[in-house]
Amino acid sequence: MIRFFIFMSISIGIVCAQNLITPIPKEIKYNKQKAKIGKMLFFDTRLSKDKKVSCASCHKPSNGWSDNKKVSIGVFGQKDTIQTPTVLNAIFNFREFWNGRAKDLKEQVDTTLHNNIEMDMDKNSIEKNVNSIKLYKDMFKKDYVSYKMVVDAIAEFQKTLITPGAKFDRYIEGKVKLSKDELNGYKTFKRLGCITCHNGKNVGGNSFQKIGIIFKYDNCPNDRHSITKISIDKCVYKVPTLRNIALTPPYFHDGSAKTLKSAIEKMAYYNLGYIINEKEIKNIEKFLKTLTGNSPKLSE
Amino acid sequence: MNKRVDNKTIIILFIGIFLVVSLIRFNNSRKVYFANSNLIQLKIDQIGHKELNLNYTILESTIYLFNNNDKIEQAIKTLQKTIKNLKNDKNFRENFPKIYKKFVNSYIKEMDKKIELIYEFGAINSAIKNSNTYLINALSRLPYFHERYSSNMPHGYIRELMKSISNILLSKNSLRNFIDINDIKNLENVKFKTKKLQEFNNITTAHFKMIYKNFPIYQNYLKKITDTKCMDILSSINSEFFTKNLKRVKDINYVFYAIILLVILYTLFVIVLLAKINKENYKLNIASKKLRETIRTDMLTKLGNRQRYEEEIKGLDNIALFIVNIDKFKHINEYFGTDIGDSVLKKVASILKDITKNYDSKIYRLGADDFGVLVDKENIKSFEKVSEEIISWFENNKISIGKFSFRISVSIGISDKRPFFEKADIALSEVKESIRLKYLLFTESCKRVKNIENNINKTSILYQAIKDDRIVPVYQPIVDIETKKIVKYEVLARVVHEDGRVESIFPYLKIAMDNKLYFDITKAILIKSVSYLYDKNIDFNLNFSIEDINDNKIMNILKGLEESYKDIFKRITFELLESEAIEDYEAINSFIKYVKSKGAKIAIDDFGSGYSNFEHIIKLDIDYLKIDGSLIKNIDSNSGSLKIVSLMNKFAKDTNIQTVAEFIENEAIWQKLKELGINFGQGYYFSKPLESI
Repeated sequence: MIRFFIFMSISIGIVCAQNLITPIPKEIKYNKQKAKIGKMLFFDTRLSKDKKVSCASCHKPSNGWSDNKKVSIGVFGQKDTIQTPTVLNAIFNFREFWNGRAKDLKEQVDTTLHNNIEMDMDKNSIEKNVNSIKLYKDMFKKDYVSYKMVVDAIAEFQKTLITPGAKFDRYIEGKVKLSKDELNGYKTFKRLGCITCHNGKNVGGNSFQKIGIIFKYDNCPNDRHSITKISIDKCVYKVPTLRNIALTPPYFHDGSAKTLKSAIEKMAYYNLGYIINEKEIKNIEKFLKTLTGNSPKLSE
Repeated sequence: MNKRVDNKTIIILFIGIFLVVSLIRFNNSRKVYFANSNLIQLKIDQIGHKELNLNYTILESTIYLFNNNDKIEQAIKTLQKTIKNLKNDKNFRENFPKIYKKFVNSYIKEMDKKIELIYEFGAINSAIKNSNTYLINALSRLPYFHERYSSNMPHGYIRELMKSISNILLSKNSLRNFIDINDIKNLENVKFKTKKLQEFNNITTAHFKMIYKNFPIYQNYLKKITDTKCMDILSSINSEFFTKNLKRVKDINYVFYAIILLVILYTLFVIVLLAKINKENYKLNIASKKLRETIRTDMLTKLGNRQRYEEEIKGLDNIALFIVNIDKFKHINEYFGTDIGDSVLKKVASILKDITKNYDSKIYRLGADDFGVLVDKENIKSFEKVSEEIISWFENNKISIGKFSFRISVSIGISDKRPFFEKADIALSEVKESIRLKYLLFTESCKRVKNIENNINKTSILYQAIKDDRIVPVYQPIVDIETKKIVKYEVLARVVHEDGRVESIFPYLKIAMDNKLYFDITKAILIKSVSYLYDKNIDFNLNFSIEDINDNKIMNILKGLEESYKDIFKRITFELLESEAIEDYEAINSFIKYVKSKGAKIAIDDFGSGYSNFEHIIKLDIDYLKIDGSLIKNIDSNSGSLKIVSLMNKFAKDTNIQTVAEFIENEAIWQKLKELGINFGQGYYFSKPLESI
């Protein structure tokens, strides 16, 4: 019992001192060789049925490892139902995918490879394709590369896609000062209640929330309800990260917000019940731009 | 017996080792069990703590408007890790299967549900919090609205608005529903002319409606999440585990005590066994001591026997042994019976003890009627004094046994040199042989010592001579006294020494008899002389003793010779030695009958030497009497001898027996014998024994 109270008091201490937004760590531990192979696989179109789609087809490094289209385009030019989320800092998400159906990156990779719109592959064809390439076998130092090894490697690579060094992180660390507008934007972000859902390391990505809680949002494909079948989960999605948000338009699960400003305005209206003015939008946008971090180390 | 003891020892040893090993092993597994069960307990406690922590973070997220949701996720992950930790506990699964099942089926399932609820609750919680934020913000804007648009606002709008907002805040903070839907509906229906106000009202009432709609859900979720269902399950798991574990620990301890008890019992058993063995050993020791005493004690006199004597003189040198022998004890036994004899022995034993007690003596019974008196030489003045004391006691005192009272005498042999007994015994023997001596200290010059030495010497000479075939016959002529012509020869035995010296067999005869060598001598002489004399065409005399006659082997040789050498018996005269030993005249008669039937003649040798019995002689069918040399030797000077010889001759002539005289050493003797009418003679006067003829 005594231990419990000590623990509680320490926890309370941390809570009081803790920031609502915490910085992205500068380093993350990963297996270099695996990640190196994973990177190659990430860009390899032979992992898709039509051999035209790679992971990078939708998770374009130039688009903040996301897609500028409203929805993802998979094999044979098929349209997916949902906008491509970024894989940047995905390791810090509590679940993967918009509806959080994957509990970690490995599951996410596995699901994406199998998805008949996205890559449309199965275990055997992946193994066949990968083992036909000597380089992979050499790099894995194995006579036969299993599907699990492929998934592991891609997940390991995705793990490295973190963006430390954002201005806001440096501000938290006391290294830089935010501009007046940026600071006002952060204050508004808190005052309006954006922070209620967008908090933590990834400024989001740590809870499920309903889009259109105040005013109903109509277009909710592949929501959490599609998995749990609980009515309360209608239009519920994993809160997307706001890290590098400036790099990844369009916004929302349906890509309906083309600009960041529009996304800020819509969110305020649908979820917070605010009609916010231009000044507030601009400031929030400026604040959100401070969340753009350095490119991942392995991205070049 | 030994083997069985060994087996027992091994079994006992094995049981001991087994007990100790099982004690150690059981103790080890006991420790392992305690460690494992403590670990399980710790893990259960940890889960409880982590769940409390999760609940805390949830409540925190409801209280604080601004909250980092990473913390909730972190708390969930930590809890799941702790749960997994216990789920993977092999000991928990195997040793407490029932409780483990409950943990997996009940607690983990409930916890999974609860975590899902937490995620679902997250959305509602955020919405409620945000609307709260909005409403608080709205409150701050109300005065501004009032100032600017009061004219356009319906009467009481602000009041109604504030009422609803405060109801919501009250509800949120008390978790009790104070929201009135009619109020909200009324507000919603208010129409504004100003667009801005209309917009404000629309949004605010949207918040109201959202809260109205979700607040019960919020309440419900919060209640579910913070209920104690999981906690209760865990707590019951905990108490079940505790109870079960306690019982186990008790059982384990009982077994442990039982093993310790066994070890104690085992130790006691070994102690008892050792004590028993000790006791038996002790008994055995006493018994063997007694037995040894018995072996070394004469049961009659309770004195030490020869064996005890031998043991006790070991290492002693400055001592003297007196062997005291009761004279003619055999006669006492024969006369009074052995009971009296035994009593005499007892009496003598106590008398000897009494007489010599001043010398710190030890008394033994060394033989049938031999007592040993062992004294330290320093304790006595002289052997004579001690001996005299003993002898004079018996001379001066009668001993009385029951109604009998008689005198006995003793003889004493003494030695103060090793070997005490043997030497004292020799001295005693000499005393016994002497008429004069009563006691004697052994010295090297004792007559008997010389005898014994002589005997030993002669025995070895005789043995060697027989072995080397150095017993040879010689032939002494027997002449007709009238004509002095040789008529036959007497075969005599000689020992040829290793150096070639020839000696008469006579000094060796007694030794030959004592050592059963008589046969060998007779055999050698018989065979050698008969084979030598067979073709010499002359008669000869062979000496035969009663031992030879009684010896079947000699008789067989004789028969063999009779068969091999035709008519040889007709030329032989058997000279039978007349002696005290002849008792069985039957055997002699049948021998005489046998040889006479083959043509042999019989002579009686050394007639008149000792026990000659005319009556016996008459009974035998004999041809010659050889008159003993001791009567012949001095016949020329001793008239007594002359008379006896004359008588013998007359007696022989009367019974038609011819006479032979031995030891005729000179002419005077020959003349006397010739006058007496003796038939034959032999002696150095005529011829020495000849090695060949």
